[in-house]
Amino acid sequence: MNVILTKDIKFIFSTILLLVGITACEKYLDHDGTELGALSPTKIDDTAGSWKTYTSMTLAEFAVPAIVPTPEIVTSSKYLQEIEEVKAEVAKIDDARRDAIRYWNGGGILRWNQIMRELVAKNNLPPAEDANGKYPVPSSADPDNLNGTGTAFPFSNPPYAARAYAYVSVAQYDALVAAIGLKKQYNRKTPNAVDASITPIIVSAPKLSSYPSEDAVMAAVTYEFMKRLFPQKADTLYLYKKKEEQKWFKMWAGVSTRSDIEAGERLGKAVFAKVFARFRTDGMANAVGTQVKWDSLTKRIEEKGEIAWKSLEDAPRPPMLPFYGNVGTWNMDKATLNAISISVPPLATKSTEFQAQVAEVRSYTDNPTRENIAIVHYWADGAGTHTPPGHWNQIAEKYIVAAKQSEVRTARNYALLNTAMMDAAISCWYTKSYYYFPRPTQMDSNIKTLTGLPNFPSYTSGHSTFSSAAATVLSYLFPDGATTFQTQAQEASMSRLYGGIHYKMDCDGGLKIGKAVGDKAVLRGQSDGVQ
Amino acid sequence: MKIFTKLSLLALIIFSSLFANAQNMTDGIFMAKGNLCGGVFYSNDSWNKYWEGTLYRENKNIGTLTTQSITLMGNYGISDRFNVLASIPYISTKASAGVLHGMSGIQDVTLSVKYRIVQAKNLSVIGSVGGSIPTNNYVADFLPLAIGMQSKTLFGRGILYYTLPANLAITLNGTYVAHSNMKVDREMYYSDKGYFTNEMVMPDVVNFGAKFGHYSFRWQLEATYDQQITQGSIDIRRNDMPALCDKFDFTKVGFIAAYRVPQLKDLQIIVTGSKVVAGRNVGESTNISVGLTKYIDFRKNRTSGIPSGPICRPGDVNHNAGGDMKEHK
Repeated sequence: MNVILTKDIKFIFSTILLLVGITACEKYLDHDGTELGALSPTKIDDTAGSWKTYTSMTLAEFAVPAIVPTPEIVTSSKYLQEIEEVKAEVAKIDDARRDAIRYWNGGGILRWNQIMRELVAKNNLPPAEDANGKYPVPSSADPDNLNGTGTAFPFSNPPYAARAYAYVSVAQYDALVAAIGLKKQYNRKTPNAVDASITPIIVSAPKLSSYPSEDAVMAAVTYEFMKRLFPQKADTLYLYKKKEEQKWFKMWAGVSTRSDIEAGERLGKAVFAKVFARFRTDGMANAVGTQVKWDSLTKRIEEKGEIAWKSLEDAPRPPMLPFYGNVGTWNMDKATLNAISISVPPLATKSTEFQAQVAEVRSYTDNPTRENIAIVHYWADGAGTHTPPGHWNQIAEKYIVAAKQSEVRTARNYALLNTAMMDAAISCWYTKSYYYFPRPTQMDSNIKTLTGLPNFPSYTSGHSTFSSAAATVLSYLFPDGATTFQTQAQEASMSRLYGGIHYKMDCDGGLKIGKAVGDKAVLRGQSDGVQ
Repeated sequence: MKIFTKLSLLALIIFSSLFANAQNMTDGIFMAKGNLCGGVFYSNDSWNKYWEGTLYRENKNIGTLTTQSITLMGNYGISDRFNVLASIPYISTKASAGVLHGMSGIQDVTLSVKYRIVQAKNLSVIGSVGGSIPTNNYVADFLPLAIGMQSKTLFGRGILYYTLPANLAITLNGTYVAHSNMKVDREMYYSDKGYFTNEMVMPDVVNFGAKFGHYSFRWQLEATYDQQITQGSIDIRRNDMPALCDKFDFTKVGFIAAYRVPQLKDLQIIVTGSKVVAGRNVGESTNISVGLTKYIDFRKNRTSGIPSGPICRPGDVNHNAGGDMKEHK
């Protein structure tokens, strides 16, 4: 008996050891998809000061005492004090600073793009209905819903996100163009070049001149914009921490001085103010609409003898930003965009061709294949994600990284991509409210969807429009990837049909209009002075 | 005995590297050596209220979420104190309102081994390890309509089984379930932060259970209590859909009632019911299941006095012909 008990005890210990061995590992991912190697651009693009900006600006308007005045010469006693400060900061290096240096050394524009996509995903949740079956409208006046009477702000749905990506990219690009123009003008050396005793930590010795600091420019212009786009307290604190890191990391690394950084921050704020002026007056404030305006959209369609879209949610939810189609455009004038947006009308609901399209949706949802569901979910980019424009930024990131593009070129390419996608959003939302077309499930309640049913009209497909515009711009920027981008856009488009939330005509119309919108961004890209 | 211990350890290592969690693997009953208990269960689970984080709410765009399943299970006695158990369910889900598509398919196969480590008078100390593995690439990232988590698990369980007079017994169990990370169909999701990958961390799970009631050859009548605590900290955000990596916690009470029908060659009919009474990120579900099980004795030489069928405690004698199991000692 004793022998058996000894064996039993051994058995118990063995079991425990086995389990401990299995479960002692911590729960984390080795890769969260944000990993970036050190940015070492193929071209430094030090002539970017002459590239065409989105807001009209001159270097002279920033080369003023209040923003980026002529810097102290590097032999001045004031500058030498700054060198001493740099040395003191370099001496303070610790693990936290090393992490921050490595993080931002992956590329400021790429990092902020990741951060923005993260915050879009975090805030991309539709408001819950209140006790009366009404949906509160998110208000920037009370982003945290501290009053408890409304909902958090923002609801970063696709149109909101498209606008956020576009404005931040534009502001970053314009700010970097100004920064590089001023760098060329002042041509101040970096502290490690002035004082050979300073050895850069982690970062390479900069190839661009030092004043003003492009990192501080990026930090300031992005932070100022993003804290207005994502004003919840926790988000603003998160952004502030990131901003402070990017602002100072080159000083911690020994390659920027305080005056480089402070001038950069002032320049970033100045460019922000110019872009923000456009942001505030682009018509977004009227995009939500009112009950009367929503009703008029329905009435207009019904008077034509057609079936108008209605919300299939319980309680019925007002359409998502139905007047977003009137927001200001980037790469074409409004009349051109409107004409493109209604250039491909939908089928009449009474037509046999349309009945066939309804049946086609049903055929995909009645017996969905696993492969098709995977496609639906890969491209869904619905609530709680960075949206389709965010997905295309993620796709672009891989190509930008592989091409080792400079900060300013990255900003320019994101600006082209994201203005194209905001134009695509404006165009698509214009089309949606113009035709106010019912979703497949409204026409056949047996159509059950494989992803969330978007609460706005069916025609055209937003995913198709975004994807086609994005693929057009990316094909221009990265011709080697053109086939891949076109295939991806087709798949993104079809995913909405497979998922049961769009007719084929929505997808085809969206692809066609998206291409026309993307072409306008390419035209800009061909004439912005970038080689 | 020495050889057996070695063999059982070997079996442990083999099984634990393959498989995890299963139902009815939590009690103190063993199948006698050479005996198989096979069964089929139908289960219906439904809820129309749930906890979004800690917020108790309804969702008119889901209505009532119903999950039905048919599970095949088996429990084989390698010895009177060492059993192998397996189960595999077919699951189907449906929402009564809204537009979302229901899902169906075969879910995960679960395999475990159960070993009575110590028998001290009326107390059995039992250890069990096992695991589960998805049988196919079913859609997991579509909660609450997904049929499963698409995660491999490995679990270790301790069971204390104490028999009282009048065929009453109390069972306590605790389980630690380790989940493997899983791959979803998309490459971006937000949980505690933004992730730009298709890989998702799945938190481990701790389960506690207690049962009390009557167990005899003919009858089983027990009250049950179960608690699940998921190790993660991620709640469903306001008005979001649940995600696979959420903290799914619940407290559940229920019953088991079973009768072995003499006229049907001792076919056992089992009815179980349970209700979630508290939870976090889970539905307030009500579950009813009905099952049929049958014991098959595979031994070639069945000597009188050697136990056949279920064993409530070591030394149970043959309890065919409707005789209640005798109080041991």
